[in-house]
Amino acid sequence: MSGIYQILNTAKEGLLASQIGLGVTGANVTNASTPGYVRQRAVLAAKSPGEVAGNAVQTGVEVTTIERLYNRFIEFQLVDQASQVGESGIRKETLERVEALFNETDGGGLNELMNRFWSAWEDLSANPTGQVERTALAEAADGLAGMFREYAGELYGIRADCNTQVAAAVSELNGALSDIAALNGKIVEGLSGGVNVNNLLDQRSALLKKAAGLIDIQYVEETGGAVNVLTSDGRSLVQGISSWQLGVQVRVDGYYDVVYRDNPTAPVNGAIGGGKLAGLIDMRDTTAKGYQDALDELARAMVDAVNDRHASGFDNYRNAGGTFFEPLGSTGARDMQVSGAILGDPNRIAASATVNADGDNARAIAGIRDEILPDFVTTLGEFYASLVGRIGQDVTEAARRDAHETGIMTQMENAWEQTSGVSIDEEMMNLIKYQMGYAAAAKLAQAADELLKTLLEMG
Amino acid sequence: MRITENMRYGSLIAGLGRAQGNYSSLMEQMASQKKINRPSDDPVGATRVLDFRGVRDAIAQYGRNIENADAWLQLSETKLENISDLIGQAREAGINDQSAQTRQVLAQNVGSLLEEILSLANSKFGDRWLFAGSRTDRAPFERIILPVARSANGFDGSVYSGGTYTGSADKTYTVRIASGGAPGTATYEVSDDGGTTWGAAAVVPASGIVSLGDGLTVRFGDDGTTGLTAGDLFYVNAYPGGRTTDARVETPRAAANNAFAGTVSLDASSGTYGGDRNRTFVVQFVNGGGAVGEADYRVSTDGGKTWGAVQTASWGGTITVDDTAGHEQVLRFTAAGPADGFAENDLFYLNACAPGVYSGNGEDLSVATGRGSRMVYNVTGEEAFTDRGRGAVDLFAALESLKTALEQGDREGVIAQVDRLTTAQDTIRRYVAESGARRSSLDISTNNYQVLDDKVAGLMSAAEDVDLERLIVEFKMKETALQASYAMSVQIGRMSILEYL
Repeated sequence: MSGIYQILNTAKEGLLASQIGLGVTGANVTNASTPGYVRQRAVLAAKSPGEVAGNAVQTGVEVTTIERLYNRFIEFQLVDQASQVGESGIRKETLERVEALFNETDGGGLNELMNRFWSAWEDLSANPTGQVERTALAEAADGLAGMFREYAGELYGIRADCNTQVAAAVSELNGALSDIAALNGKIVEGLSGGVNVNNLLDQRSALLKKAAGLIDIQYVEETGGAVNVLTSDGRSLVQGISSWQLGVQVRVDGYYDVVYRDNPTAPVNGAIGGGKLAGLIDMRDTTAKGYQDALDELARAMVDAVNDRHASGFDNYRNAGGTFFEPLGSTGARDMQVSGAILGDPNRIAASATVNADGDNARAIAGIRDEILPDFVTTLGEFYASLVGRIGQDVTEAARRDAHETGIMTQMENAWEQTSGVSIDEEMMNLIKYQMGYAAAAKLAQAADELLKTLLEMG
Repeated sequence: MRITENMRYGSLIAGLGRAQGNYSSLMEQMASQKKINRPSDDPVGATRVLDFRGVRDAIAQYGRNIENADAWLQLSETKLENISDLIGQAREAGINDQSAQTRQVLAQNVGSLLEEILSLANSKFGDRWLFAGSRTDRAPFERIILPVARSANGFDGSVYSGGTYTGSADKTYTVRIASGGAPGTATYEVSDDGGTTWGAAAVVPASGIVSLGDGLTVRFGDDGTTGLTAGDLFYVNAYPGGRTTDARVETPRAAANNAFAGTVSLDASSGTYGGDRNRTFVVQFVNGGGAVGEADYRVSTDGGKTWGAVQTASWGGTITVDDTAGHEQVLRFTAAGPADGFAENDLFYLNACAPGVYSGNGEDLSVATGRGSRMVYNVTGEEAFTDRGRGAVDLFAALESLKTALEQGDREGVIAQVDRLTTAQDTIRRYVAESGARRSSLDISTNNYQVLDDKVAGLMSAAEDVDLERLIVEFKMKETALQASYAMSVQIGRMSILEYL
């Protein structure tokens, strides 16, 4: 008698296991496209054997756990790679903006205006009293100064934009870190209570990758289920359920330094070695600043050289030449201006080396084009061309690195997919399998039922 | 290996993106016909292209400079050739001088040739005089009132006219030396009707300057070997508006943008200008601020090219710009009001002309014809038509003398002037030849630049232009690849077990 009930019980367990199996399959199928979803599997185990008439008999099945199929080493690599991709991505994006600014391939840029400016001086030297030549020169100079202002202003804008993004990235990071700490609490609690925390683990993985995309981190898993997050140089960001918040502090040049909230006077910029933040800080403080410095240097050399020679000549009124460009202040090329006196009256341009109209001063100024000024190793035109080349080179390098890092990321994601991703084909097979298992268990119950009926009719 | 849905679709999307990227990059190249559409397409190439553009721009500019210089030279050449021809006609007039009857006609001919040559010598290119050096505020040549010495005179020093002729009609003055000797002892008589009636004899003043009437004076220079001799005759044809030939100092002028509102004038202590070439003296105030007599200044004797030391000592009201003994040039500054002072960069200039006809200067005008090379494109009036600087003969003095000699029947004088004109003609022909030589050298430069420009254009094209045939083949290939990707993405949905359940 107990044997038949045993069979019924076994059938019930079979039905239940198949149902759970179908449920897990269903979860897998519906989450097949969910980013970061780790496929799950119902782990079935045969129940401990019972004894029938002194013989050990297998008695049914049980679902011991819903397993989350993942490889923690790939997970570590993915988090690490997220920093690389975060940094290379923002570098590429920012540099492409700079490149668009310095795109001289269609002409009309600074290079062309510089050439036009020198040519206008040459034209004036050939006809030092000509009003047409004077007006053309004033216009060419104004256009050149305007282009310098535009380029420098745009570069400044790109740097300011990087700065805004630094602040945004820091607050995004703070959010991710406090979420990780909160999840740590729930996971530890859930695990100790035997609750399925698989979706919390998925969430935490996603947050770790997000944080790593912003700043280079390392993390360790504790036995209780919590993760501790550290910066690459070993400072704590998350410890169990507490997190350390970062902040920004305005420094002398108006840009933000990244600091710990609890130690706002000690910038940690230098300790950031990866992620979007590292890319942004490098762009703002080194790469884009380098371009801006070069542009300033070019503008300053041009303004000083032209002004210096202009002052030694005489204008059409026979007065000595005044300043041609307004002297550059600390804002550099961003405020390059042709002197208002020159723009207002091109006869103030000092074209001649004497009070008579010899045009020699205009020729001397036009000669700057071919000269290698003190502190330079090339002409101003070549200096600018090499700046454009340098930017092109940097973009090429950044694009190459980004492609490389993204490629590695894709490979790692594929490796992750191989373990943790959902295959519909596989799930369909599981579906059939559990469906059949369910049908078979039902058949078993039916058979036991018939056995019972037969037995009862006997009575 | 497990292949999951994300892997399948992920690689498909990446592949599609790649194919589209390749396709649109080629499309961009097709549209722009350029390989380099942004610096990162080829950083080295982009830099080279910018350098090439700079070189081509410079070549175009040198080409424009050469064209300007060539046009100027061509015009100068034509004018000089015309002048040379006219001088030839004047020489013929001198050679044809045979009888008293034809003489007056010939003299008239020479007079009109002189006018023609004068207007040619004042030719302009745009708004600048061809033969004035770098001066632009005054025509370089004017009709002169020239004292002409009879060839048989004993006196062999120079004679200059001075003052300003105030008469309203042409008039010929004759000066006759009544008794010889040095200025201070010799006596002279003046006739203003061609020698019919003479004024009373008077002593030639020690300064050598005698007055003819109507504001006109004549100065006998002390540069000869024989002094004034009794019977020496000098003829002076005076024209209203004619210019006298003695050394001149023009009115000092203030630059147009000075702060100083007072006046500048030539101080009474100034002497005649003693230099042998035309010069522009400049006084510039420095450091800003300062009253008359106190402000710091510096002086240039070459128009502002080079400067003397800044003067900080108090200077009363006058500044000496030329301290040649006996020929000092002194500027006097008078304030307009008690607060009138100088600002930095206030500038005053003074043009001084050596004896003779020329008002321009001897400055070269040049343009850059290449990196670090320049070409002088002007012929100054000084070198072509005067005996100053590099010049050989004072052309207008020779013509005026020829005319006077013909009028006065001075046969010897005519012959002497024909000789001078021969030299003048040779000089001008030399400059015609030189202009031609400069032009042909410009021509060679132009041709060289043309060749260079073609080469650079070729290099630039190689660096930035697309190879269209190759591009089209590649474009076809990428197009096929993109089509294959599209076809595959349609297929991939069907490759699933779901199709078979």
